[in-house]
Formats: sequence, structure tokens, C-alpha cells
Amino acid sequence: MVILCCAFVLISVISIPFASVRLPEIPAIIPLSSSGILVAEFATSFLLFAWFHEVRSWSLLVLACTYLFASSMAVLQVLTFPDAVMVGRIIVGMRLSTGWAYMVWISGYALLTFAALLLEAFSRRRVSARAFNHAVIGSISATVAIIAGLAWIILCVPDRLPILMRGSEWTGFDQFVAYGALSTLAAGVAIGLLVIRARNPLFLWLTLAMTAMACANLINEVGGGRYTLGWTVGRLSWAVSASVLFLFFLGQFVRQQKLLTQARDTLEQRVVQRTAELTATVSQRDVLLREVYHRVNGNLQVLDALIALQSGSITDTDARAAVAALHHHILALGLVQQHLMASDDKRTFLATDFLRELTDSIVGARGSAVADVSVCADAVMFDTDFAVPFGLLTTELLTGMLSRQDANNINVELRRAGVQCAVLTVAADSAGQLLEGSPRARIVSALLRQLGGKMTVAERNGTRIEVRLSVPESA
Amino acid sequence: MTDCILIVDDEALIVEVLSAMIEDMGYAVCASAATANEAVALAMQHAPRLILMDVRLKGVPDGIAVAEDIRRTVGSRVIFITGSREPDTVERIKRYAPVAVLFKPVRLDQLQSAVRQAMS
Repeated sequence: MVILCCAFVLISVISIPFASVRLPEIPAIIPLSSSGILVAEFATSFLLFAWFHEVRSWSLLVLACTYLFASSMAVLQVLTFPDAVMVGRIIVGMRLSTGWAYMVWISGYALLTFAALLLEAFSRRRVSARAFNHAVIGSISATVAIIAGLAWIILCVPDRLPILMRGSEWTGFDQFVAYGALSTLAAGVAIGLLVIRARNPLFLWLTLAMTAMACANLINEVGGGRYTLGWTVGRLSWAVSASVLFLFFLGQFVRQQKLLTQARDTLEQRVVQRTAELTATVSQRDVLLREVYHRVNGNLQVLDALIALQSGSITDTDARAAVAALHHHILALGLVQQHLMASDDKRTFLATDFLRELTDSIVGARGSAVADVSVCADAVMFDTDFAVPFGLLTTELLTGMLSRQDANNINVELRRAGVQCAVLTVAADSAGQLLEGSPRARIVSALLRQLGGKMTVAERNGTRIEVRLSVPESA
Repeated sequence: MTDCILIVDDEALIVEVLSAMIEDMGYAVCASAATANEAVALAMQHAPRLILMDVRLKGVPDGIAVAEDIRRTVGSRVIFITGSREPDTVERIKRYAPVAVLFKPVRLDQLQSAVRQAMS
């Protein structure tokens, strides 16, 4: 930044001998340069207020107001400059207004930037979050009021102010104010480069803007009047000065975009990596679950084999019936494991096929001399906690019905009855005691308790058992 | 090819019960094997008409691969018995086109029906 400032000063110093060379009068220079300055400084002012929202330093607030002031003065400059907008006349004010608009602009800019640099260099105070809105509204209001007051003076009573130009040449008063502003800018640049330095890059860039402004003022004064080389180069240098902070913000934007892109790439890589890790974990969990289910089924088969071997010598009818019931329960538990293993999530499965297979296995295990059994089930989802007691309950109720000699038709149904409710129905065309006082009654009662079910038995034209069940939400 | 059945399972108790069931049906069990190598050797030796093959055996290869080997060399028919219903395994078994697939714990009526079909 020091090199850039020095280069700017050097170019200006080299231009000094030629500054008074007169160039053709091109009034369009004023609207062109002023509109560029207006856009750049107004945008910079907005960005500075936005940044102030994050940083909340007084120096930034003063700087934001400075650029708001400078952009307004650029407008005033165009409106009061002869021939700038309309040939042979000015839009507002008097002929004396032109010089004062320029003078107020450069001296105001110099004083305000100097104040901002002083605050940044020597004050660490911040505006509190609570006072933020008051600070912004108050500072903008004050700036607008000052601009309005100065504009009124410049436009309405410039003849009461000291004379700045005689013919097309600056007066001593004009030079006093201009060189005063120049000195203030130089002092500000010195504070920026020597005190603030790299602590705050924004203010380092501001020193470049102030250098450009100072060089513009210097060469403009040396030029001695309008439409000289110094006056024209001065306009160009002001435009550069107005654009410096805007360029700084553009640079920040580009840098932030790069950082965002890098962060996004890193995040995407992390997501891919994490997804792969999670997939591996899920896959590992599935392998373990499959292994567990497989072993459970193997053990059930061993248990069933043991019971079959042990029961080979049993002759008592009741004892054989009890062993057969055990075999049915083992088949029911095995069926739950098989359906869980076959499901996608290894946690839940549909009741439809399960109920049909369970019924088939019980009927098949009892041989050919059994009643005609029909099965019908809605698409109710079961999870492990629900499926095991449900399977055992259905087994008990169905084997109870099948044990009746006079049952010809048995119907097993599972119907959905609301969002989390289902009704299991086991009905037969035979009547008679089914549960009372038997071990089956204790098993059914315990399973109903576990399932939170409510059972009703109706005995009209046969037996109809209905069990109202709460199906868990997870299922 | 002899009219006997080879049982391949690494659980001795299951082999025992399956043997009893088959003998009750009136068929002969020529041998039983607990590993893949044993199964291949006994199949070559006895050339059984039917093999009851557990899918998961001790070590590698598994029952499906062994059955494929035996089919090529001996030509026995196979009933698979498995504790797994996971789609991959079932798909592999189906590709082999066995007489039947029985899931553990095995139902007697299914076993009888499958054995009769294979031996007829």
C-alpha cells in the first residue's frame, strides 16, 4: 500500500510542470466524473454501514457517513457546474455555488476521513448491540441535516461567502482551504500508514483513497483554473479515490466467494466420507443382525430337535399335546425371526404373509385331519416387540380352536381398526369351553397383558374370539 | 445312484432328528456329514438320490457351493435347509433350482412332502 501511495504521489509530482496547460473545454467531464464518483461512493457508503453492523466501531460509522456526504456533494457539484447538464446554465444555485460545492466537498471529505482515522487509530470503543439502530439512524440523520444545511448555504446565499475564483483563477482563500484540506489528508495518510498499518486493511486502503484525493487536490490547485491539465487529471484522480474502497469490498467479496467454495468443497468431501462411514456401519450392523437371526433360528431348530428326541418315548396324550404346543410355539418364534431377517430394515415386517405362514405351519404340523382354515390380514406392520407375543397369541388361539373335534371351518383375520389399532379375530363353527382353567388361559392372559390387548369371546353360531390390539407407532 | 439320503448339517442333534424323521418315512439314511469336504467325499462314495443340505456349514465353502459341486460330479437332488431368509441367500439358492428350500425350524409336513417329491 505504501508503494502504491508513493507511486500516486510521484505521478502527481511529475505532472505538476504541465498542470497549467490549458485543454479544450469539455463540460461533459463534470457529469461523467461526478456520476462515477456518486455511484462508487454511495455503494461504498452502503457497504460500510453493512460492515458497521458486524464490527460496530465508531470509526467505521464516521467513514460510512463520510462517503454518504461525499456522494451527495458529487450530485451538488454536477447541479451547480455551468454547462454540465444544460448548455450555458446551471441547474440550481448561482455561479458562485460551483466553487463552494467543490470546496465543501474536498474539505468535508478530508476532515471526516481524518476523524475516522483518528478514531480507528486511538479509540477501541464499540457501539453496543442495543444502541446500534440509534447510532445508524442518528448518524444518517445528522449527515443528511448537515448536507441539507450546507446545500442551502451553497445554493441560496453563496454571495455572502468569501470569493473563491476571480475570472478563471483561484483566490488566496480558495488556496488556503484547498491546501488545508490537502494537509489534513496528508496527516490522515500518515496516521493510516504509520499507526494503523496492517491492523485494519480497510483503513490501509482508505489511505490510498486519501492519497488519490490529496494528489487530485494538489494538481487541481497547481493547474490554476478549470479545463487545465491539472483540473482534468484532478477529476480523474478523484474518481480513482472514490473507487478505492469499493474495489476493496469487491476484493473482499471475491475472497469470501473463494472461501465459500473451499468450505463447500470441504463440506461435500466430509459428507461423502461420513456417508461412506455410515453406510459401512449400517452394513456392519446388518451383517451382525443377520448373524444373530441366523443363530437364533439355528438354536430354535436344535431346541425343536431336542424336544422331538425327548418326546419320542412319551405315550400320555396330554403330555404329547403339551409337546406339540411347544413345537408350535417354536415354529412361531422361528417364523418371526425369518420375517425380520428378510425385511429391508431388519426391524419390521408386514403381517399379511406372516399370519398366513403361521397358520399354515400350525395346520400342517397337526396333520391332515383338521378343519378348513381361512386367513385374511390387512397390511399391518409388526416390529420385534409386537410380533413375538402376537405370534404366540395367535398360535394359542388357533391351536385351541383346532383342538375341537367338531370344528369344520376356522377363520383367522387381522383387520386394521384406526391408526394404531388392529383387531385379531379367530372364529370357528363350533361352541364349547376354550380357555377357562387351562394352561392356555394363563398364557393367553399373559400375552394380552404384554400386548395391551382386550379380548372378547362371543358364542353364537360357534365361537368368535376378538382381540383388540394397540399396534406400536414404530411398527 | 442309490435310493438313500445323505444329511449334511454341522449340528449333531439336528442330524439325529432329521434321520429319525426320514427313517419314519421309510427311507434310508446312508450317511451324514458336518463339513463341505466330508459331504463331497460321502456323496462320491454313496451316490445318494437326495441330499438334505444345510446352507451354513463349518468353514468354507457353504452348502450351496458344495451342492453345486456334487450335482456336477454325482447328480444328486438337493433339499436345502437354512436358517436365513435374507434375499441374497435365497436368490443364490433359487439359482441352483433345488427340490425345495426349508427354513429352520423345519416343519415336519414340509420335510415329508419335499422328501417324497425328491425320492419319487
